Amino acid sequence: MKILVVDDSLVYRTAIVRLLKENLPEATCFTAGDGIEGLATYLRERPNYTLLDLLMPGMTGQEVLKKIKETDPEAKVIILTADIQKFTENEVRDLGAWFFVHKPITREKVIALAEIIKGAS
Amino acid sequence: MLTPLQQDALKEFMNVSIGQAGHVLSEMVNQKVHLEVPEVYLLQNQTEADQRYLKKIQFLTGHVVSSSLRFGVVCSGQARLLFPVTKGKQLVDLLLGDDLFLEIEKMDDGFSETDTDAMKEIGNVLLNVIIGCLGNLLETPIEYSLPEVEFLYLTEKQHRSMFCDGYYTLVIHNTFLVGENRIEGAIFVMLCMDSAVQLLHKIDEMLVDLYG
Repeated sequence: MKILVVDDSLVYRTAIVRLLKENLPEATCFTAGDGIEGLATYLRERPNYTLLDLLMPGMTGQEVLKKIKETDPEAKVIILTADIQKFTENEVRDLGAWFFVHKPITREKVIALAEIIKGAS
Repeated sequence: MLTPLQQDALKEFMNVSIGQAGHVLSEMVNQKVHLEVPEVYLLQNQTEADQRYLKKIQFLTGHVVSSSLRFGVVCSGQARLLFPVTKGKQLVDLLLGDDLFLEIEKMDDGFSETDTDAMKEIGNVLLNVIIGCLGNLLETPIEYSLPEVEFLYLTEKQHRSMFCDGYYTLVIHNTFLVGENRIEGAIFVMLCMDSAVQLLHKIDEMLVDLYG
């Protein structure tokens, strides 16, 4: 199983990958620090699951999500964002996001995500 | 200048927003966060800031760390979260002290690149809560710029520069108590005139709803 984590915060990217590996030892994780790198990594690796921040340099998460869904309508993309606006949640759900998780990312939230991924695999 | 009822309604709304900010901060540091009741001001210009607020921000004189982001679409302006640099470092240490970040290299003095990244994320999350609450209140979508972290040296004279004529400035003076740490900071939200008028209109609607 391949999981891609796209977040411009190195601190959180590192923590998310560590917790994913603890809870999904069979997963291979890839990371990207901005939207452009994230999309390129997605197209190269075709991960089963993508964890995607919204507010990032280069391309926003919304733009990356749109491109991913154009390429692969079945892609499972989980949005991670600090944005609490209902408009934003509706927007990414309309774009085809699979799950929506509010930041800050905590151990409990990553474990819950790992369970969701296990259940879907 | 707000009427006492408008001031009360604005304070109550910001109380709820700061409560949500306290909740996300608690998630970030994985500890209970106590909140002191925030002081809230909506200041129209530098003169009003001189009269009503500037003497209250002596704690932001000297070295401060600032996280800021711009926002726009229908409601536009800039939001800035300021802490004295020692308090900002305390907050970062509390965040990185959580075992979620075991692999992160820690630095005792000063801000490392990792500390700055963590401070950016703290600013991003807290400012998103405050501005997101405003967006939800105004029922309008808001777009954000990337957050920026700056280290500034502020004199009393420079405090005035945070208040620009032509903008309303919403100031939220907040204190978070995390364990034995008392972290005093301030949030400045510069709102363009149209956005401030919308906010006041919404506050009036809330008052009509409450009092008829």
